[in-house]
Amino acid sequence: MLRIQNPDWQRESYPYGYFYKQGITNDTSIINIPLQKGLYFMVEKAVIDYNAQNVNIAGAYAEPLKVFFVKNGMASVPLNSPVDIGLLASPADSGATVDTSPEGANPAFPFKAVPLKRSKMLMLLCIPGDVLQVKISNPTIIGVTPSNSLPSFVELFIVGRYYPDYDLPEWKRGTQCR
Amino acid sequence: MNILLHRINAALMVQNQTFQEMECMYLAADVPAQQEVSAIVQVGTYGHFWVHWITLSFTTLDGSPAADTGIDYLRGKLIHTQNSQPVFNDFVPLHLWATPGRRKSISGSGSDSNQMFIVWEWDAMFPINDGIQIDLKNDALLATNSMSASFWGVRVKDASTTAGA
Repeated sequence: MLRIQNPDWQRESYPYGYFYKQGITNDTSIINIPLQKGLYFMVEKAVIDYNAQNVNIAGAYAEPLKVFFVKNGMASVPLNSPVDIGLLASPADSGATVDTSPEGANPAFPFKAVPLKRSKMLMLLCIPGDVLQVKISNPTIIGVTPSNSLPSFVELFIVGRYYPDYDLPEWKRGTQCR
Repeated sequence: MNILLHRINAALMVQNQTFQEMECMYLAADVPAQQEVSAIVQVGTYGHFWVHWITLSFTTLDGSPAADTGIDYLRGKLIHTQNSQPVFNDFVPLHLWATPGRRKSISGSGSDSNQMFIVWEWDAMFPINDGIQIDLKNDALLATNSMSASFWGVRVKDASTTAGA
């Protein structure tokens, strides 16, 4: 039985979540994750939801988006396999019925409340100085120009944990860990 | 007959139970349409609170009269009240981290409520005098939506807490 003794546990490591909502067409999109300097960041899990739309291809909702973690410009763990995606069940459930246009009546264009999907435990470690990006490709829209396709939106939520490196000189550590 | 691999030290277990115990902190809020609300529960001075799991459900109402559309209008941001330290970088739609998630409000309208329950693991220490705060935004145009959350964790007592060490 573990006795929790350190009330400064929060200072040793603490959770942090990054959320991005981005419009994408048929091009690959890159989302940059601004990591704090001087700290290790362990990506523990990620949840993704999206509404994919296309005006040209019938049944265009069948193919899910592909999502990759990219560290320092290279595909990272897990090896080029897309992370778990909260795949929307049908066009009727895709959020297409929601006003998705930024100039529409509801600028927040919220999605359908789909059940939370369990994420893979990613355990992707970024050391101080690493650049973390998420690459999203949209295979749903094949061979059409962006002008022919409606925008799709993706919601990405990454949950991880920041750890200090006590071997670094104090001035190099993250401000939360002194 | 069950044989235990390790001998149980009853005295140590009792001692440990004196200094830490399971607790659930409950937080709920109603958010009027197009408004922002801060929901706060204070940790107090009794002991530090180490959160292990979050369970959260919310309504998906809009229109007048309100109808259950199944669309996630609520976005939330977790914050430590003591130093206003945010735990998320932005307001995150609740269905990306809430479980069991959508709470069906009006029978006969909208789709089914979410049945799948996966507890959301999330470890964070809220020290004494801190508070758990969720800032909520409701993107619905006309209807009030509500959220209720439970933070399951361990109450940790030491020399700095009123419960003593």
